[in-house]
Amino acid sequence: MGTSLFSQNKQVLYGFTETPQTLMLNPGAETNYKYHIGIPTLSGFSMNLGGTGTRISELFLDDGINFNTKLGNVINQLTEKDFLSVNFQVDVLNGGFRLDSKTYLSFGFYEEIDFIGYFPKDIVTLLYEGNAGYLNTRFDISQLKMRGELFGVLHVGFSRKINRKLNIGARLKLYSGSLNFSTIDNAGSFTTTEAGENIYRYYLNNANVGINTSGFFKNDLVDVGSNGYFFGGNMGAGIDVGFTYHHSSKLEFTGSLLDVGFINYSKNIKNAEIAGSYIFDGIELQFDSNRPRDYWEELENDFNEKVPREENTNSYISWRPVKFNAAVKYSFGREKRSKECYAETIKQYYDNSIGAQLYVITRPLSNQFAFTTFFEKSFGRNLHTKVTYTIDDYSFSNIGVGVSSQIGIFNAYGIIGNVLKLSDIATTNNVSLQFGLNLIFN
Amino acid sequence: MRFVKITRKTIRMKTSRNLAVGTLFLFLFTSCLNNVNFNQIEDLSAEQVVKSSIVFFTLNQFHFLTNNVEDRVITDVLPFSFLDNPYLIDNLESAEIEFRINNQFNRDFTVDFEFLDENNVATLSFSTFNIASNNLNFVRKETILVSGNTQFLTSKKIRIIVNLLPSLDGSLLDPAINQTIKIRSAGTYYLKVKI
Repeated sequence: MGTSLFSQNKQVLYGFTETPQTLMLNPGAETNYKYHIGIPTLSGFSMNLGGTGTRISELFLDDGINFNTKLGNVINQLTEKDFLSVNFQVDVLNGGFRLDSKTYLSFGFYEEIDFIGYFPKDIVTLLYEGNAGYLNTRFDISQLKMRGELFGVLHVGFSRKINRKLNIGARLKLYSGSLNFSTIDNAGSFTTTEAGENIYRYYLNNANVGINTSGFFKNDLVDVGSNGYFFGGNMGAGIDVGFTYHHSSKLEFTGSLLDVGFINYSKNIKNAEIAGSYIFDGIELQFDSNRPRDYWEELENDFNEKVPREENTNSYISWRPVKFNAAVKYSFGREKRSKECYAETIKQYYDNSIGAQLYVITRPLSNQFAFTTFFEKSFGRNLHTKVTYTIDDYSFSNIGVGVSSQIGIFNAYGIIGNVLKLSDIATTNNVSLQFGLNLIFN
Repeated sequence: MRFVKITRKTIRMKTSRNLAVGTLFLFLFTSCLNNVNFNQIEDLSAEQVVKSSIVFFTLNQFHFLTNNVEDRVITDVLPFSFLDNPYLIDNLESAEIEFRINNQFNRDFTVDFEFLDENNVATLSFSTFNIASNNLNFVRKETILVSGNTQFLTSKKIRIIVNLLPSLDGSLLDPAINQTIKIRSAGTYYLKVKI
């Protein structure tokens, strides 16, 4: 059973003590056990809430400053590159067993919620303050980038020893999408100028705004969850690949590429798009008593003609964000051999390791990077610790700590990220926290 | 009964293990949101100031001539329904309407703006605009207090009456001489949005 609260970048867990969870981060990670079983629905739970550019404390600190003043300051300091991301995973089923001395097979099913939304600074500013203070300022509509989905993942993978130096692995994933919305490739701008036929002129310039949804509507009526929440029926496929390479008994390289795949959303689709350009100077009165005019209707018809709206139920593809991990690890100190006797998995272990990791995830605006250095220390055969220092979009001072202990078939581990901020998480951009219990059979 | 040999090494191992696990749970259960008050969100409000053009028109001498006879008063009505919008009813505090008039006629004008309800009963009217001949930069601003102004909120249309005043010397409009009066208008809307 396990509970965790951590970043999608699981920098402490990556490559840590050969627990089954490391196989989800690198299918080519080495294993040294016969089989493992996860307790249904409790074998893994993870959540990440992260944001850049501001912190909870800047808005909600009980400091006597007017809330709207603080909100205005936050809106001013955020940029369109700042984002909020939410990732939530629940392992419904997780297990694995050794096929032979070289190959370990693992499988499972998990549900995942993934959301990322960039801060559409121009749109928020326009809505929050209005346009009066921003004459001749171009409000950029393309800053609206948001994507969220709920889906299930059925997966099976193998980790195979090729020789004493190389271990490779791959995992096939079948996605089943339940809910999805996506508004990413928007374009256009809105400007108010002191020009034109009247005092002010509105320019809607080359606007192109679209949203795709699945599972939020049914027969044109709002019906959230209309695809069901498990096995939503929007099928997709993906693959994870990875490796572990021992340059020597002390020097190890690892790498993985995760979630190279897509989901084809085709059920209960409702998409909408609006595109075009428009100039508005106000309403020009005609003073034609012979032909009274319905000016508003004319304006509406003109706008709809020049900026048409379209709805459709076309299926669409949602690409999964691809994650890339790479690490180099140098081990030193007291040497001991593997306690188990799988012919091809015997290797040397050392008390200490140092190394560095790189993590990249593809995101709509730009790829996000995280660089981690770490130190691992083992106390005896059954107690292992890992300390990480990570630089990423969230902070330059993220220190993580992990502890793993093996007692019989029980493997207990706990991982904390951003420990310096943990006593007051309101002042941080993200917090990583994870602990769990594996049943591992040798 | 099973006896276990306790050595300094096993004590050291257990101590470090307990220390590690204890540290973990200390972090888990002491982490908190210090001195944070989420109830502040109840104070959330946005003060929007929105500028938008309203109506504009250009009239020439032909608008005031019918069969070459001066027809000095012309009228148009602009129906609108945006005051039916609950968002505006709840949040629009006031509006400042700015008029800019360019009169190239060698004649004076009066212009009246009247807000009318569904039955054409005036809900609000500005005092008459007196525009002198050849005044190219007439500017006037009118403020409407909207919040709580139930009479104004029943407005459904604006009636604009443009009146060409007789010349002082009795001369009439010459269709061959091009003259225009251009009237522009825009609003600055002050909204206080409570969420």
